[in-house]
Amino acid sequence: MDYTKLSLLEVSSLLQEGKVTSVELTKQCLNNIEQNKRLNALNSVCSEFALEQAQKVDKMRADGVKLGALAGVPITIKDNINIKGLKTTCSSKFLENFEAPYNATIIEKLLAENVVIVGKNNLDEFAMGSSTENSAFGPALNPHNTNYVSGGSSGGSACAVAANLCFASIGTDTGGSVRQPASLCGVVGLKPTYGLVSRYGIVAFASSLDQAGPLTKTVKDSALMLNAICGYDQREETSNKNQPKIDYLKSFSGSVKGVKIGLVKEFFGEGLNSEVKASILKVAEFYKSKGAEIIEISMPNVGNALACYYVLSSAEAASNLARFDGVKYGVSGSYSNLNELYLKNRSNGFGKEVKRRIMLGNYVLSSGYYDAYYKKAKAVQKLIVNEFAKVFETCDVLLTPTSPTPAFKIGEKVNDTLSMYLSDVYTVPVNIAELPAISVPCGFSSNGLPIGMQLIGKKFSEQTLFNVADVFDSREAK
Amino acid sequence: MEYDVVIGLEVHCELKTNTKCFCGCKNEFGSDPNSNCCPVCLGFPGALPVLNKTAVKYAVMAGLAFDCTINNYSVFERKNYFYPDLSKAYQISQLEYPLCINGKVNINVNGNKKTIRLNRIHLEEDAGKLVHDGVGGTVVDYNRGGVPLIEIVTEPDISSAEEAVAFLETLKNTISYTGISDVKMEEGSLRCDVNLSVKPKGSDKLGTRTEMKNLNSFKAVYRAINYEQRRQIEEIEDGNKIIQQTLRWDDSIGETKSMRNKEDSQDYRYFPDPDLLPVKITDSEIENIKNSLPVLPTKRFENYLELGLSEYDANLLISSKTISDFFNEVNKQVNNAKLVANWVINEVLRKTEDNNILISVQNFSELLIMVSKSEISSTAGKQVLEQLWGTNKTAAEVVEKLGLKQISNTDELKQIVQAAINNNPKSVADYKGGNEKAIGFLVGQVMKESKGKANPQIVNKLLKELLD
Amino acid sequence: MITDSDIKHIARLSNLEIAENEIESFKHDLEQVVNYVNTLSKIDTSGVDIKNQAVSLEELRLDEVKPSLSQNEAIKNAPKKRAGGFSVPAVIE
Repeated sequence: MDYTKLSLLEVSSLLQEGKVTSVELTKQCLNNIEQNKRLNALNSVCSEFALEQAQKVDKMRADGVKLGALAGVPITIKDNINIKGLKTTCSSKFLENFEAPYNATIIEKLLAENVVIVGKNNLDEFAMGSSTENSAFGPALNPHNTNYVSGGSSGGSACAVAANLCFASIGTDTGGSVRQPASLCGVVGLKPTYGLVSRYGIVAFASSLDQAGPLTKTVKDSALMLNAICGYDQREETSNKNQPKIDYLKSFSGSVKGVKIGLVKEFFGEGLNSEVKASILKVAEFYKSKGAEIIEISMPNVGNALACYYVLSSAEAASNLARFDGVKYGVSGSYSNLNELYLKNRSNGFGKEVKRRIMLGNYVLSSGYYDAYYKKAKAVQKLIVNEFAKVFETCDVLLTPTSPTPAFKIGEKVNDTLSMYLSDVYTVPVNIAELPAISVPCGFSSNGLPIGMQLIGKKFSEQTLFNVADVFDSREAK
Repeated sequence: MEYDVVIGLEVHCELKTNTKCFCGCKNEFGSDPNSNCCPVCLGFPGALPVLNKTAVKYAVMAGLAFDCTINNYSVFERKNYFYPDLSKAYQISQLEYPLCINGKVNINVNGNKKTIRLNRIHLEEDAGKLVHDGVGGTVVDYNRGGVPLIEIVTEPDISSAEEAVAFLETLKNTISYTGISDVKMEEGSLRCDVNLSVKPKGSDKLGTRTEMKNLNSFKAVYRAINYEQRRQIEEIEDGNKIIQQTLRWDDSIGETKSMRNKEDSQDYRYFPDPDLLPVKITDSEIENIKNSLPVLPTKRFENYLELGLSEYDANLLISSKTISDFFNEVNKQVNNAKLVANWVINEVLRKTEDNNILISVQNFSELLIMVSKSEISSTAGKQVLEQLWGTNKTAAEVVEKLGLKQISNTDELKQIVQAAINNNPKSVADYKGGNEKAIGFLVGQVMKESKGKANPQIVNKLLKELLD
Repeated sequence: MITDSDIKHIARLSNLEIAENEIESFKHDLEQVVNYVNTLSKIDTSGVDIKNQAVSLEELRLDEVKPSLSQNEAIKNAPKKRAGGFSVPAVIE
């Protein structure tokens, strides 16, 4: 039987009931991976390591050791997250040979759950991009139509889950990088509240915006994954000490009666694909039919989030990527002086988009511009935070499209920087305001490409998001 | 044409914490290269900084020691530049909201008192070390990278090399009392950069300043300042403009050289570090830290003056906390400041190496009490001290053993004194004839007869009584 | 208006080598985005306090030694190593 089409929860039950072994599951996933190489979802596959882990779990289970729900389940990890002993390339030539000397905190947590890691996912280089076309190793293709992108920057993660190469993936989301590819590939993608999930060991892009989040086939799977990776980490100052200690699997009441769902007027204007719009409105109708209250709201400042994002994320990225100087890690070479070492390593090691962001970042931080750009963006950020806070006084969640369009063709936007940036318009405000949001598949375009809807909640309201999302996700008529 | 010299100093002190400023690696000198390092201080991808509580406390202690205002809200910022010893290509430092602002250091240069204002004291991390590998390359060791430093910045209030050295000595001494740093320039735990410019005497307009680095001793600071001020004045008198630049002092030839600069015309693009939270310190926390400080040298100096000691003696006593604490403890028991000061300065200080006082407070106190009561003479006391130094013996033991107890009994002494008078009629005659000094000879005879045990003051008194 | 000289200056700060024939393209891209983000200047942010939530002194990390990496682990990924350290072209101080 082909187990790979099942959800994580389903396969977890089967494992616990002894109806399948972890080794069998792992072999099936590895086989799918092999068969679907051209999707380019993975930068590296660790079959030996994976089978070793799977065997270990099967033995523990046979010995009667008490195991959690994730034990023995094959998953993948975005290749900007450090796993000790494996390569962390960030899909960059610079780190092609970098072997991680330590585990990210979330990896420690997942390994403690005895999960089986089968490979590292392809991404836009250093997580900068919305299509995975910025990867130094080629884009990840959309499993629904390989002429199209899988989105980004966690394109490889979304692709792997959608193509049943694994049962879940951990991606990272700085401006929509988990949600947008999830939407384009037809899977569920969660960006947790900033500070809920540890950033330690995740290669930093924009420190004040980055969050790791799961990509899964169902909303319930997402809750299971979040249980495993969330939690205060003393190795990160920005990790939230006062986060709720919740079992997110217990989030599902099955009802949205009385839930106030806001529709943001500004998100349904120009630039939104008509099929996507129709799809989202249909979702609203569905929720209304289940007893939710649909409220139309206006957020006049939310449109500034994108400009804010590009200033702040580029500035932080420019600084975060300065450590890539060729001294501690990088590509071997022979350099006659220090300057050459720096210039050659960085110029040969980084792709064009990364260079653009570094240049933009240093521009907005540079003397004479810092106040007008960086400091200003920080102030605008506060306005957006306040605006969301106000909106959540009357709404429980907001319903928006995840992406203004379904997947676009490979090569279509790669030369139009601004157009590519504008595709983040619905996801970016969420990172700016440090909020949680989830993308759930809600339909298909007329040419068979997935459409996703996004639910946004206030800080630490993942429980509410899961519940509302699941009512739709687990509906009868799909 | 006369010139004013305008000098500001930037002093860095390594803090003696157990761990580095932003990670749990050992803060230890002399280990194998790169063996006290972790992903954080190595600047590995994905690593994050976490601030050291003790480093903050120490920085606040430094601020309080120099009368700074401690900011209740303080922010860490990234100073971005490329250099091999900087693993993240940015240094975590402070700019807009440092831990301490304003403050002062009072100096005394040959009797002239002056206050040097401090602009700020902030906390930051040190960079690694670059070592020449002997075959034309450089090797980087990040063991020192991440070690906490405080940066102390003065206002340009210093006007001479003498003042600069006095400032550094006072600064070093005061900090050594707090225990937060070893402040040893020769070991690198105290570093000093000098900013210097000159201007026509009395002019309001400041000249272009240069920055001097690589000053590894107070002497070097002294020589470098004198050199650079002379150089700048010569340049101006030759009709040349002073170029703003960073200069490297070469102590072996006594000159500055332009540095092939890593920092010239650098734009550091400071911004608040998004990985670190601002720190808030309450007034009561500041008060607690203040109360945990030992009494500092300036205050002790005042106390010593109040006890009747001279400025010269007071200065010697405060020169090290160990000496000062020793003096204080001993004086508590002996209760004779002048006597104790005399002995500590002339005997203990002389014998002490590396701040190691090899006699206990108890034993030394007992010795001094014996001297103060004239139970033994001062000379005998010194002999006893020799015996006590480096041992656990008590003064009583040694005095007994060496039979050094002084004879102060008037009746006992009267006999010997009378005998001396009887045996030296010439001296008696000299004395009676008006030669005051002749009594000294008689005293000497009594001392000889008593084998040095007679109390010279009483002998003197008795002689005068019997002769007058 | 972003000039060629701006691009060269930023490239220097970024330690990136921009070839002569790339300058135009970078200029175009940078200018496009900068023009877009210039919209921020029109927003009224008077009275906005950008101070962030702070951590109290008591909550900071205790000064206790934690295990470090071994020297080998530290220099493992170095493109060039020597004598237990990271080898770079000579830096003349």
